[in-house]
Amino acid sequence: MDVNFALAVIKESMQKKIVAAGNVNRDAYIQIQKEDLLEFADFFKNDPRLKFDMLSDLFAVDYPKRPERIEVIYNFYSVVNNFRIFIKIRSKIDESEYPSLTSFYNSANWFEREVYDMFGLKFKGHPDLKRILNPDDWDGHPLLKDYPLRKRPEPEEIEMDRPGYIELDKI
Amino acid sequence: MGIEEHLGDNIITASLDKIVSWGRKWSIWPATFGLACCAIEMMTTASSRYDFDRLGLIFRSSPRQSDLIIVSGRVSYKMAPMVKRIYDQMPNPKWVIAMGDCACSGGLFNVYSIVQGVDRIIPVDVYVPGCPPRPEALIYGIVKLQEKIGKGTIKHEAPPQIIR
Repeated sequence: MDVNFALAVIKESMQKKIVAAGNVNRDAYIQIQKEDLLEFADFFKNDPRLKFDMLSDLFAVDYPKRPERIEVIYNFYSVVNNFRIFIKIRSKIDESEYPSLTSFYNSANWFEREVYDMFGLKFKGHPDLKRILNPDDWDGHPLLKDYPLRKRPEPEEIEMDRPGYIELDKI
Repeated sequence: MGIEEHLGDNIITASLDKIVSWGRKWSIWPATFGLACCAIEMMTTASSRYDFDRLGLIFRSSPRQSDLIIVSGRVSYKMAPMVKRIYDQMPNPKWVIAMGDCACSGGLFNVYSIVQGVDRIIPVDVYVPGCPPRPEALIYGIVKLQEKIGKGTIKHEAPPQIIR
């Protein structure tokens, strides 16, 4: 069984909800609407023919020239059947609320936190949506294309009292 | 010839500054502190082929027992408070080596998240450029630092300040 079998199974069951599908470099992708994501994830995980039991990656891309700027890409992998498939969802930047996949895949927890940190997308239903790479009080989301490339805090602005920092003179 | 006439042959006199500086420069104890790939090069320099021990450098596991911090790698804004904190925990006199391009000036990471040179946070004595510097370069930096320490004094000096 290869990924074309998986693609055929998905097309057979979910024909109406697929926006686009295809192969790029022997990897299959499906573009869907974000309202259907939870349904797709449920189907991927529980269908006996597919058994996509692992969410191996989740990331976003910012295309500033497109009207739907943000593209979120989910990478599902089936350990049992040894094939993987990519799910793409496009959305406008001001409609940045996505359903969280943490109820299906535990690995989605940190991936979604990373996407939230770098792109500012909100994941509805995430148990602990906070920054994972940047400091907690960071301003802005650095991987958006309109984030200034060399915007930095001034040295005086670096808070030296994190974490649990005590001025030695005051002891 | 002064006091040496009365002391006999088995006592040597010297100025206290020189004796203390000599002791300090041959027993620099760096803090065990690494940040990035330069830290791997620093570990190589410390191990048997290049051998820090022959210069009297012995890595100490606590900043409170060390008098040198080798900032080996890029300092991100998230890490900056920890670097500053370790520096503040070290007792005087203390010295800093900025190892590698990133610690010297930010290096190739001219981006939003990296401090452009560790001298914006803590005062640096010796800069060792390179990406990463060879162990010979780091040892040369240590020798330069030893020269600086050798000119030092035991008088109480105010800790060095950051120049902005």
